[in-house]
Amino acid sequence: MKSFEHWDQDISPKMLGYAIVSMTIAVGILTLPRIITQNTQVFDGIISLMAGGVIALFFTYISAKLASRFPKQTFCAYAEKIASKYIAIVLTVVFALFFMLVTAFEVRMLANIAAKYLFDETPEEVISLTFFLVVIYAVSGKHVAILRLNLMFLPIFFAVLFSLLILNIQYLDLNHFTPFFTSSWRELLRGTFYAAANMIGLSIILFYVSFMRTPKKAPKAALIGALITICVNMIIFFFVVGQLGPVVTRNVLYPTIEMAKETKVPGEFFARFDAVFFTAWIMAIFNTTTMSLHVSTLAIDSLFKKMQKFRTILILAPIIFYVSMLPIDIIQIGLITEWLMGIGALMGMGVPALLYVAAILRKVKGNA
Amino acid sequence: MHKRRRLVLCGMLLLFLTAGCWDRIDIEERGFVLGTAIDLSKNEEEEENIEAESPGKPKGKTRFILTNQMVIPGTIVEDNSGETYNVSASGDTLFECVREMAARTSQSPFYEHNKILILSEDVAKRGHIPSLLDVFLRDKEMKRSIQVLIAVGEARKALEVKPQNKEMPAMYINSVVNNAYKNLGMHPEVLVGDIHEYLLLDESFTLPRIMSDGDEIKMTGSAVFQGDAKRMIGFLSSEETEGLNIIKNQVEGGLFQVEIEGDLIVYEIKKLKTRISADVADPLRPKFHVTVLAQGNLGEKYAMIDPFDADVITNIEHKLEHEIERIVNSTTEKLQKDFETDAMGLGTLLKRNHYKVWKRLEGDWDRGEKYFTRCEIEVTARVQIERRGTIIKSHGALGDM
Amino acid sequence: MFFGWKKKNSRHLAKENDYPPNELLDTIEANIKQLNELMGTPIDFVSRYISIAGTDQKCGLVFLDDFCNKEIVNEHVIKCILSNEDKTIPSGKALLEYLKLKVIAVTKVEHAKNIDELFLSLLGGDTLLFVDGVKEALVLNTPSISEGRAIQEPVTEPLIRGPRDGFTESIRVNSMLIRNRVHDYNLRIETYNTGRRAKKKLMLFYINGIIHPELLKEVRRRLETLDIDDALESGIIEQWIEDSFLSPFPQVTSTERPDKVTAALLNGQFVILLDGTPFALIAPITITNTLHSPEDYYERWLTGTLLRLLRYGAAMLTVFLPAAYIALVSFHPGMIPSHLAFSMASTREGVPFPSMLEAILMETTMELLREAGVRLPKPIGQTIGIVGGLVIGEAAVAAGIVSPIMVIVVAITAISSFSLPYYGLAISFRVLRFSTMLAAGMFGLYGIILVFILICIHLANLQSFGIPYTAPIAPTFFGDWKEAVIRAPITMLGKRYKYLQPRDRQRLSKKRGN
Repeated sequence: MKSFEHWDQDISPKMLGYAIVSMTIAVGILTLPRIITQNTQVFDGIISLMAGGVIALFFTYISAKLASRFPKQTFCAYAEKIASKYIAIVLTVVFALFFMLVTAFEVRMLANIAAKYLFDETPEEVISLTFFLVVIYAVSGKHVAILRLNLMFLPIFFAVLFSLLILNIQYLDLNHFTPFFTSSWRELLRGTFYAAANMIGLSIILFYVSFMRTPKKAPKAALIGALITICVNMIIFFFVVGQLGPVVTRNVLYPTIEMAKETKVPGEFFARFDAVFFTAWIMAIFNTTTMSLHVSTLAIDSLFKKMQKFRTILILAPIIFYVSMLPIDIIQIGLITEWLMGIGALMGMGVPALLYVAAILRKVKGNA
Repeated sequence: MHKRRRLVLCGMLLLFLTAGCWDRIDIEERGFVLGTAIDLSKNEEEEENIEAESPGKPKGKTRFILTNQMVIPGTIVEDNSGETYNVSASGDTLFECVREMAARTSQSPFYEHNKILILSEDVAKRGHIPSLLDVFLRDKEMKRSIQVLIAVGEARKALEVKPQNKEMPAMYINSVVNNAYKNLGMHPEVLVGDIHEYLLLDESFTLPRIMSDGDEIKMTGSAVFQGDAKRMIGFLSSEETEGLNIIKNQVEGGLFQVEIEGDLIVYEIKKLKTRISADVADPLRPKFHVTVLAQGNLGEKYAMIDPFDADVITNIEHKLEHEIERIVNSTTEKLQKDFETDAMGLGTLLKRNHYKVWKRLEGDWDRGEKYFTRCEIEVTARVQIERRGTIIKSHGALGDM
Repeated sequence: MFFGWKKKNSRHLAKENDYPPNELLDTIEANIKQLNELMGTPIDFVSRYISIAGTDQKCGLVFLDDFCNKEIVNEHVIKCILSNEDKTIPSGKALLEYLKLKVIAVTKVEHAKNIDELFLSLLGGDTLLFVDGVKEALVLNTPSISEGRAIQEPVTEPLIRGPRDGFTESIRVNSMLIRNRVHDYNLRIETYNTGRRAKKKLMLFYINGIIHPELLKEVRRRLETLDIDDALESGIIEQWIEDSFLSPFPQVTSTERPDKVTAALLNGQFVILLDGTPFALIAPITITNTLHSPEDYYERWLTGTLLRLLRYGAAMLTVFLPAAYIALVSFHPGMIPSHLAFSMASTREGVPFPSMLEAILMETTMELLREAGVRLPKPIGQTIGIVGGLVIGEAAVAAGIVSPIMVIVVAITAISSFSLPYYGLAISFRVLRFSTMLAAGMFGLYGIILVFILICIHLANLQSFGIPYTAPIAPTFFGDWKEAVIRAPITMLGKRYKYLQPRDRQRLSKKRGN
């Protein structure tokens, strides 16, 4: 029996924007200041962040343009139109694997950080499994619901983040920002790479635009979303470096949490703001994980016509969980991070760019 | 069918929720550590004991005594007062001390409410600060906002003070620092996180000094650390700390006393700003101009002068300017000649504003060639008296009526 | 769809009626006898033969003794028939028409052929009139006027400021109360009979031209699937037509207040009244609706807005406060300000239970007290409050079973749950509270946040009659926030909720609307 759905299940441009912000705000928000300061001098990282942001924006635009060229078509379908069937299948599989890996990485990262800051004895496996079950519950729901969760959690996260920043204004030490321009070009470029690669989540555009009723509006929404993340990254970098100083930032694992640790709430209402910030961050990373798992199920479903979403999830989930538990310690996770960034840059930037150029050259267009 | 699947999922989640609670320690089972003091162990007998108990154990360079101040929860009354007890344990590392302590106290120590860390003079002078601070930065229970103090003599003596108002000693010490705006000779608070930065940058720095005499503590003066060796060089007295505070532009308040016409007047600082500019015409011998701008009030006057006479005021202002210059010069002298340590942040100033010059001096600033000791520091002060109080005279003098 | 609307195959009412005869007979005697026997010759079955004055024809009246208004039967039926002056009257079917048109002075007269229909009318207090030679009867509307309880102030939803009338158990009074408030010819009332045996009237109210037609279609579809013996209360209807019966959240609100119903109708929602209960159902609703009180609109806007914000806070406290206490005390004492932490530690000194057990113990006691207070007659109910609040609270602390802070936590939680305007929501929040407490007891803050996320996932998937339950927050309609989240000044509320997709969004005249 068809139930009454007078609310349409399409993704609005606003939702796409929110999705992009939620997707790109993840582990990077905690580690990016460290990674950038490790590669550049003093405060010059902000240049790298800006340059990386511009690059990310450019490829966001290309991805959104590419996807909106083929309204209501899955990635697999339009990749087949542009290139060939086999290339389309290979690309889809790679995307699926990539997002599975991202999911595994986020799950493990969350468990790792939670074990560091909230728990002592609780095993990481248990922390990540509980979290992962919640993620699976979310993914097995309606796909609009996943995007609606972004609308709910992102404002909460931003509210906590900005209250953290406002509370920290008093600790800003302007001396931490000078001297300017002491990094070499090589250092800046490396920083730029990391800043751009931090936006690896952007390739969800390729999959989500197909749910939009008005794909024409996708590029603008995607650009705004990406721009918000870039700005947030820059603001956080500014505050973290301003408070901890570039040298300390370079030497603590999660500088943003350390910054929150030093925060004092007026009136001593809360003795530790970092726990509050951390719980809000769990919501942000939940969104990222949910969407990446969702996109990988979407990719796999687009390959097999008869697959049911829930069955796909049941197959994927144990694999992802197993993979997420493979690395032994933070060093191995770090290696995987580098790896992910590399593949992410290739998949999120290289592939859409190539496909877009090919689509223009071969004058392939969607039905609409 | 979907429903059943989701029920299974929910069930699994519930199972996990009820399966275990690894980290649950109820609040009354925790031993809240309020303050920590670290001393050097000089007990030879004890070392022999250790040798006998575990002969093959690797030995550290020195043995430390860790003293934790813990709260006795039942005694907490609403007005912040309560009883505490101090537990000491010795070990080659701090962790060993903590483990040793666990064998002696009923409650497991919990450090998230730790407010202060007091290091003894000896610990600081032997250069153990970097290694001791490691655990305070590494451990998740530790906050970067723990205050660090250097005690004259034994550090645990400071934790043994008995404040008149029955406050807990560590809380008492912690709140004394908040009076920095009233006393110029007090060094502002330095947190573990700050020291982390100094250590990473190899900068010289200063820490507040604490002196205790059983019932009370006094928190004036400061301890100077050399950035290269990372060890304490010596103490700056209360007055020299005043100079240091002025140079580092960290004055929140305080007073100057000057003599005029044979008696004293008190100048209460409302605002004191210091600007330093560097002249790097000779890169190996930079010149620093320290300009001090002070605004304040006439607080108390013993001398028989008319505060509403412009000439008198100008005179007082001149005297005050000389006083400030004297204080600052005595500090710079001590740091340049005696300690040969740049605890004033002049090197950082060069780094920020004259990066190229700094690159040449970096390795030989207050180490190596010690260019710091040779540089010239010129102090000029400008003082303004803004308010003179609500009365003209408090008492009459002979013949003045 | 998970937790979805899944009542398949709408079985209709037609086939289950297994009384053997379905038709009337030819003669009056036979008809009356048949009816009487079918009902098992009850004591209040009154039948009466009257000959029509001046002729040799007669007719038979049947009614239930105390169910119908005998005055009307006497004055306007029997007297009229007895004082008929026409000498020549028709017979058979024409006689029925004649009686209806010229003799009987009752406002509403209908024809009926079906025995089922006849019984329905008879049991509703109508009088049946038979004549010879026709397989048909006249149904005379003669219901007794005694309507039970008078209109009183609603007990479960008192307001400081606002109308004092509430619904009663009579659907006629209730529909009159609604009609009285909405003098709009577009107000539509659709009547359904529910219950296979206890045939109860159910009325669907909506305003044509505001409500979305698709929504209306869906409601009708769901109401037609109703298939139960007896709808005891509107709660049963609610559970039958709601979208997801596994959800702890109510997807339909119930109210005793006609003013609330009126406001809902004008928003583009629909209202269902059931005979025999003072509780009207309003749907579709969203999570924000459940936290609104009509008083928000009656007070000035600043008060209304602040009260709403207060209520949101209360809702959060209801669900998360005991859990937060457990998490802070057992997992993160570092988050409590130092002095408070020390004094909490000293008050918990000697409490034998871990904080989770302590909290669950106290919360269960609280629920017990509440339940006992509801069940007991009013005068004794108050003593329960005193016994519970003072004696148990005080004594438990003195005996060292719980800590005083736990008592404060329980008290605040209880008070905030009572400050929620909709009782159904308050109950489900109480259920959720226990799950957050369990999670907090296992994982501390991390557990709480996971449960929060779980609740949010569920809410994001939930719909009330196709309207997302989390509207207008997600999907976002900022235009609706000024009415749904805060309560902007009346002059600014120019448009109806967008998320309900009303056909006519303009509430104020176009000039002011924004």
